Amino acid sequence: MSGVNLLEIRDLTMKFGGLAALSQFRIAIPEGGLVGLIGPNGAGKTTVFNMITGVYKPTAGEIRLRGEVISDAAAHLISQRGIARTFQNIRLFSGLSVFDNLIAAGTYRRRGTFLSTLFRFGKGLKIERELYAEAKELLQFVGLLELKDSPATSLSYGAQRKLEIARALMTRPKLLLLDEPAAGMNPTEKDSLRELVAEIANRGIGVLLIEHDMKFVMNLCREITVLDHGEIIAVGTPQVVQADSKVIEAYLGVAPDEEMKGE
Amino acid sequence: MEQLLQFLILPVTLFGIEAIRAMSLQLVLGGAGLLSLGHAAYFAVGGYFSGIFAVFIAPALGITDPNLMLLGGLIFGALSAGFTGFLVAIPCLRLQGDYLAMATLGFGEIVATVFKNVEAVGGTRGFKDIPKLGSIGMIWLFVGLVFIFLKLFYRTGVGFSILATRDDEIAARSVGIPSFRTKVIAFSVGCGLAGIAGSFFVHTLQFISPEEASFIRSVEVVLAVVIGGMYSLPGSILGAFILTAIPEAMRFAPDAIKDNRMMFFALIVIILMIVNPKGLANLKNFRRGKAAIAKG
Repeated sequence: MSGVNLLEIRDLTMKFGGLAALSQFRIAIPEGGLVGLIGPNGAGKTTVFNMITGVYKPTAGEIRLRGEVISDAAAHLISQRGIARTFQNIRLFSGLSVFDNLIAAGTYRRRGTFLSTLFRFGKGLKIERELYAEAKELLQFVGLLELKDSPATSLSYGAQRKLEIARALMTRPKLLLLDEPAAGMNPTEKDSLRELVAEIANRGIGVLLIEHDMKFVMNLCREITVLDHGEIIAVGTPQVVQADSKVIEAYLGVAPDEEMKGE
Repeated sequence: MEQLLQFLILPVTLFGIEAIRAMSLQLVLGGAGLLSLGHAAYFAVGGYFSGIFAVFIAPALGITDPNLMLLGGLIFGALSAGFTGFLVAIPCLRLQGDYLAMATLGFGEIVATVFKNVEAVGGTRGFKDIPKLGSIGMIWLFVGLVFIFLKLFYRTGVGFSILATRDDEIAARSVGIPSFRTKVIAFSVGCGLAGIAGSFFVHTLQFISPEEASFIRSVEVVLAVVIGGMYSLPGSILGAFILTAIPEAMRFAPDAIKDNRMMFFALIVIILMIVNPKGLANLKNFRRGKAAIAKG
């Protein structure tokens, strides 16, 4: 298995009607690697996530998880194979408590235990206890244990983002996709989030990170891919990417007179 | 006193049956978040098939013991209602929201039409002379059993999958939950439980007509669940109580009100939705919330 990347994407293209939201996208994430994906609004970053997780079917191209093609699998099966994600616009289970949000994410591990869980004996009870213990551990890990019985939607914005991460970890992923996890957080929250993401990678879970906060990405990732208008414009270490003229152009805009024409 | 008790037996029995039916819809509507406007149809399917079991199948099998006959009817009724629900769920649950409501409404009417046209079970005149089985005590035992079953069911993996899918289908899939299959399970189990209620219904009244599958009956069940509080099982029992108690109380009301029962319910629902959208079961929290606001 050595030499096979955790995630390998080749020539991924997504067209909505005639419009190419993403073309010829490629990325490779090694086991336990922490890779950044940045780019201006509308560059196609979330589209990449939606294709990896099976929400969209790619128009062309190939996604491989540990060498196996997953581009045609249904979303829930991709999750079961070990890819978890968070959402840019937070999607928690709003009717459930903080704790139950995590339990809901452990359900596929409870297959075949329906009757023993219902009547509370044997295997069902054993797995339930394991899940409950694991959920508590993860809430402790993200620092939300005291709030475990609160309704999920009563949490602050930053806490909701952390809960989404904990929920994703509950599926025991090999790869975690984080879609702008630091959005809307204050500097203190961002610092603690950065430590959290680093710790997740330390545990051997690969992380693909979409983020607008440059400092946040540059501090965390050793490799960054930059997207603009659905195309890769730069790949490399934070230093390389930061110095790239195309990247600067994409972020800071082109020459003033060109910009006027664009609007 | 003796007379009053005699008078109360039937309403309390029907209240129990309505409670089972309301809880069965609570799973579909509050648990899975699927607006079914045809739930009475599965109740009727359960009732008819339980009647068919008692009238045609049990004699053929030589079953004469009333308890055994009821048990067979309950199983046969629940399975046939659950299976009908399953068949309806496969195409309908690909739809969402209003479209799903319309599709379930349509299937409910189809069920009513089918029973109207089967002469073996009485056609439009209804299915008569079904053996009287079960008792008020047994029905209330089942109210308890269904309540406990659902309470435990919501704590299983399937139960959590149902709640998660209700709250956010995309997020549910992202944590490995097969959302479509989950919705089909919730719908079918809900229909199967409605079949149990239907089974008790026919063996209490010894009669069922195709009208029991009609749209207006389905709306009544939705009302019971919504009045009581969609997300609460005890709320469904409370809603069932209101739905059976008010018509009984109205026996003594002037005709003008008596004839406009549904309008009266509609008024209750409108007031409730404005005052406290989470239903009667939430009344306690509602008042507590107000107190908190007053304090703060």
